[in-house]
Amino acid sequence: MIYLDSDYKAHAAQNETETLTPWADPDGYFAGKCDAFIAGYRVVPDGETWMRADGTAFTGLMIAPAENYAVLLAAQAEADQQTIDDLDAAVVDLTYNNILLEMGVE
Amino acid sequence: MGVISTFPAGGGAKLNLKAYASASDLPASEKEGAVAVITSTAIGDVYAAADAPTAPAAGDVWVWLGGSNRCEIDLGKNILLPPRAAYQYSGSAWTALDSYVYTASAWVQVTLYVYYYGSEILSAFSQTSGTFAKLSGSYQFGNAKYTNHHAASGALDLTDVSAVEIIYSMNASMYASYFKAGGASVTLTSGTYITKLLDVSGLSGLYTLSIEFNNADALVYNYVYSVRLIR
Repeated sequence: MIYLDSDYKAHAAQNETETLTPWADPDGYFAGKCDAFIAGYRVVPDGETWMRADGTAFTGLMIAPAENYAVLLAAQAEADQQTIDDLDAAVVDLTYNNILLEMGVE
Repeated sequence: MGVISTFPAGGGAKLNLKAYASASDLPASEKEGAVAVITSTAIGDVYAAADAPTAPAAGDVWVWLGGSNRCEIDLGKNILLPPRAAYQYSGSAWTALDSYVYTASAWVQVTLYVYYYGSEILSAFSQTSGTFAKLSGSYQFGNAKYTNHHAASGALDLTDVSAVEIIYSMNASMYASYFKAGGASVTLTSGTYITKLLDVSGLSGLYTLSIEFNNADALVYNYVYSVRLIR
């Protein structure tokens, strides 16, 4: 689930005043994506129309970067690397604990 | 209507740009690298640049340079300009002009169309899955049930391109069908001669365009008539 504001900008979470519109992301486009990636996107749901500032109308369902896509990809890559680092650390911990168990060390 | 000519002052290479009232007024031949714009409004200053002039006056003409283009303006002295489109300033906005470059003994229309009713212009689409055929006036997808029929273009420079337009006809499909570029996608809806726009203002650089008609449970054809870049 992601959330859309009045300009169809995406948000990873609902705001405090709960004014954002939930969007189910049925195809899981944003699954695994970091908050910064999501925040750089715009989603125009099916049946709705977004009017860009220059007067061009876009009908949904449209999912498109609202900000520099290269920057969004870089943010996602950084988040993915952090996830890998966290998993690596968890593997080390589990391996260490398993060794201690095998040695009978509490 | 008489020809309105403008030649930049000074030495060195010159942009030979002239205005004509109609495309039928274009001369049979011209100097290599000549540019023709179709307008009945008197031309002011002429600009050739990747970015729009910041303080234009009514009548000024801007040849938008860069990106994916169909031909080059040969100014001689090893100077080649890549035109994407031409515009004239109305006093409040830039209006697109029909424009041509004389190159290799022929007038070539400057256009932002990637594909236009059978003509592959800025790029050709090729099959990536399913059934895909090039007809005289359209691309044809389909004729196999439970099959994804996809095609993709060559790399196109979407820098400073704000949207891409597709005109197509699509029979009802079981699964969603899409028009995509990089991280942007728009769902295609069924109907005839449908126009869909995809916002690519967040994309800069080279991307391929992808047309994806997915999985009908009947033997149906889908067609694409034109794909166009929009500044």
